[in-house]
Amino acid sequence: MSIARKSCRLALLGIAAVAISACATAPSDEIDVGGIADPLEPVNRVTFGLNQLVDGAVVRPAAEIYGGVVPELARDGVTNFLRNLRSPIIIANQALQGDWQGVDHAAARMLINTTVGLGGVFDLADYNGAGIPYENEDFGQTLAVWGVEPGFYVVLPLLGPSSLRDTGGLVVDTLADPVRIALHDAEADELTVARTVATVLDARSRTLDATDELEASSVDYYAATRSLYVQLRQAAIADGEAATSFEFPEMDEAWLDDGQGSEPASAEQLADAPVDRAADAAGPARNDAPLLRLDLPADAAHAPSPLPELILDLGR
Amino acid sequence: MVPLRLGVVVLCLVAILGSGLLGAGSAVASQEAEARAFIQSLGDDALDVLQRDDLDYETAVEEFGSLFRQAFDIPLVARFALGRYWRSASEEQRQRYVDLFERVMLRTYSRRFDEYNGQTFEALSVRPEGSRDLLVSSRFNRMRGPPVSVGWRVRPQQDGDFKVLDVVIENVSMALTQRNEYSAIIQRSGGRIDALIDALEEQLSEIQSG
Repeated sequence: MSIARKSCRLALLGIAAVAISACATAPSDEIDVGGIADPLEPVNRVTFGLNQLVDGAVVRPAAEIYGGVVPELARDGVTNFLRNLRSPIIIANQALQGDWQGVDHAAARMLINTTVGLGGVFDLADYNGAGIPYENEDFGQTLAVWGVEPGFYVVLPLLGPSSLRDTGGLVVDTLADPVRIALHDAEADELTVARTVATVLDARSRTLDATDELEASSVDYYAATRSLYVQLRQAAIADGEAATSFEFPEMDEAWLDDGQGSEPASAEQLADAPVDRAADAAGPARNDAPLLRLDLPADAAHAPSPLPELILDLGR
Repeated sequence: MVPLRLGVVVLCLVAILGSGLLGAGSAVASQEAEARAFIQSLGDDALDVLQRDDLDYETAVEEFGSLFRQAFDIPLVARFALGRYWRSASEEQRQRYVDLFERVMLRTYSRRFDEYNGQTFEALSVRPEGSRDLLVSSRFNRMRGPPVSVGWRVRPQQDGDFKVLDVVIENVSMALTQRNEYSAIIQRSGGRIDALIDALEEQLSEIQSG
């Protein structure tokens, strides 16, 4: 079957993913600031624990050996090569997001690195960090740009933190990947397996310190990871612009907007916390405004950012 | 000579209007410059303490702690992290919580002093954040690996100084993460604030023994 025909079938799959994600809007009272609805939390916590077991027993030791044995220069080459293989997916998603500058950059990177960069081993397009930086895109981000809500939080077996939307995105990206399809048609599926193993080793070896740090500094590692996932995804969707903006009231103000803001304030609450309502009405409506605002400008400036990659590293 | 006189009047008007506009603009600009300078000196001072070889660990933590207490509005950050549960907490719970919060934060930041060796710190740009804060972007340049981008949410104080409310590392807000974490702990225990206090106490003893 040709790549074009397969891609058509995948487009249908993509539409199905959108439909599923769109249906899955969680009740709003389960969403906390910077958080995400997590109706499956008990199940997710179990999966999270199992993932940690697998990580501790297999992935982490393998990544440590990889990081210890393979010299840094070679590891950078692997990172560059794997990133270059993602180029078709990135270009397609930039186009689907209507980000033409992004298409331009990703295409230029693929062209330069595949040729002069010897098949992508050297990132000459961003030599010394002074050129076009790598920016990851995926179909989950594309769906978000199209206005699809994340649905709710899921911890995927082995793959880690995700959302309903991003899981659909991951499936579409994986199936639609021209590199995977070409290898399959050439009856070289084992190369796709090798690529997957390399991707896991590469990502895990680069995030060992970060995850250790997070685990050591958190009281609830599961909740910290979930919060991190949401924040990093929001930043990735906004292409590295800090996407979350929230108010930080003063000590003596009524924090009617904290937490699950849908709770109406009782008369008692209003009485024990004097608020200058008139002043508030004149100024920005702080207490009535949602604590968290999501700004996702479609044409946001495309700041270079390692975030999308971090996300990838965190879960996948 | 009418055109000339008119010209002078116009020039004067331009000068007056111009100075007014510039004045307003430079007030904002100077506050932003002050915020940037505040963060630059905070970062430099912190790295200075962290990189001094002549201090033993506990003295270094102490020095770092006094910098930290001076620069951060700790009670306000703690209150934000507790979210909607602040209201239902008793005065005694609040005091214990804020005290624990401060010690956990301090230990977290000073956990890996040796990591900071050879780093340099650069405060970069400033932009408004929320309705009354400024976000100072900065960068830690490390000996190895790419630089780390850190944003500092600062609030101008009445005395012209600033207080840090949030640290945003690679677009991840510490305050927001803590808030999500703390509310998860309290929710799982059925709304008991003491569950969080116990968890923080346990974490503190783990950090100190580790």
